[in-house]
Amino acid sequence: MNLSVFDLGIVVFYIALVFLSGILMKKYVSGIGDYLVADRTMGFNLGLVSMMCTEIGMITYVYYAEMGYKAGFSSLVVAIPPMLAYFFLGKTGFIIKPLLELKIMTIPEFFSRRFSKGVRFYVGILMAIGGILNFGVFPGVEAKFINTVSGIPEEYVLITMVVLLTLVLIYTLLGGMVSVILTNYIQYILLSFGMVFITVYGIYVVGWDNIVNTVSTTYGEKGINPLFPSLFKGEFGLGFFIWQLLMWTAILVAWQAVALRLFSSKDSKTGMKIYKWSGLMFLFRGVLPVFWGIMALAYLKEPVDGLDALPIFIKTIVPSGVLGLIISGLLAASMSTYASYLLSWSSVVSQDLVGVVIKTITKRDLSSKKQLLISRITVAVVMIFIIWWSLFHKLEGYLYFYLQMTGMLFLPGALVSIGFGVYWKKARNLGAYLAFTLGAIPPLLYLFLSEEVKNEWASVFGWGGFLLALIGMLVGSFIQNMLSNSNQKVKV
Amino acid sequence: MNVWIVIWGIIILFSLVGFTVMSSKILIKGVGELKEMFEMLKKRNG
Repeated sequence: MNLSVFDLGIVVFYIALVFLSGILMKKYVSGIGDYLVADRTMGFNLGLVSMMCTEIGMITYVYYAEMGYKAGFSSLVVAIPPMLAYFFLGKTGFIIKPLLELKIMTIPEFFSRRFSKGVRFYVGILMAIGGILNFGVFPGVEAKFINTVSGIPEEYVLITMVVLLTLVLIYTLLGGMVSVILTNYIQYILLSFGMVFITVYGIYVVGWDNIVNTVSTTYGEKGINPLFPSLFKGEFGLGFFIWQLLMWTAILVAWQAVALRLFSSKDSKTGMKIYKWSGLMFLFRGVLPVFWGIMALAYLKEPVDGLDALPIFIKTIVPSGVLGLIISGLLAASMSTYASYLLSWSSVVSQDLVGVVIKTITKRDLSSKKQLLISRITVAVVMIFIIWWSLFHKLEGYLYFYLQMTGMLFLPGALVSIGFGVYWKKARNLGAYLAFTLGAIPPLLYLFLSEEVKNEWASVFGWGGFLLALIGMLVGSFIQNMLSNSNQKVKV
Repeated sequence: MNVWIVIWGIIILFSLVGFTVMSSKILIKGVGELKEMFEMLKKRNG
């Protein structure tokens, strides 16, 4: 073990604090509204804290650091599109304002209101598959990270995974979104300390000149100039940028964990303000971990696997005593992400799949308490699945691309269908079905490709998915409008 | 020095300072909102 008794004490104290807060929050949860969106009571600053905590996990650090380690400074480009997407949506309210005003709890709910229950069910299936496959690699990557940093032997990875998930499960099941908002606050203190410390101390230990020289000698111009060899051919060139801009706009509109945060805000004005400021925070969220990967490249003498670079770097540079705080910070980052993701994806399964099936069979609405029970059972089932997936799925290519492609199983269709659903009266069910189906083809193909092809063609598969979804929506709606003049009732 | 190195240096420095300042700000202001949220939930849930 690399941890001293003092370090261990800090970690145990932190876990106890989080656990206690979950128990204390239970009394505030009386129905599904409190459980999923904290009864829409979240203000601007808490919203921002919560948004950051959800979208920063240990896995965020790992995939960004992997890019920095494998591609040098050029990969810093990856932090810019989310910032632009947040600014754009927060400033203009494009799509998100109408969504907020609908007061919905999950994204598929929109589809039943604007299109049909069938579309909602289909979207729910794709979202559940994409979201859970995406989430499915978290425990494996993160448990390995914890073990490397703390010095726990690698064969105990399963135990680390189970302990981590059990802790999260207990307090998520108890308090839902109310507990998540409070623990996010505690977690953000540790998380922000850890991020600043690693950056400042890393530069102090490794040295800026050393970092620049290492990147130049290891990767040459390609590691510094993202547009090398040209704007169109660069790994992080125009195609990558367009894909990422579309992808992040889609994430901010339809990614359940982010959308739940948005729907929890007090009103549409607060929601938009949270988005506007999240842009800057997301720039920082990308830049700092990518830079840690670059520092790891300069500091570590022997080449290591891209996913191992950051934990080895942290273990090597952080002094004993501070390591406990850093590990608590890392745990903090992960636990809030886990809690939110468990809550988000299980809410899709419980509300949009199981709930719809039960309602169709019994022809009755489910009571709030029954919905809550189904949601809790689903959380447990999702957790068991992701442990299994983490153990048996082999990751290939950039982890960042894997995560984006699993999300892309529904995101292109979702962005196009929501956008057209809100702003185009002639958008029809067939258009939505086709948008989702065609948009899911490129990412599905990507997941089965070999590693070399994956990295080279990721951007094309990325923007290609959005293009196909757009074509699907236009063609499908056009055909349905042409075939039936029965003017489908537009409800939004 | 390569112009890209200068750009990346500025972005990294800006991110470090910006993250520190914004995090401190939202954490300080978040305490008040946390209290407000619990008061509202208490009232609603009796």
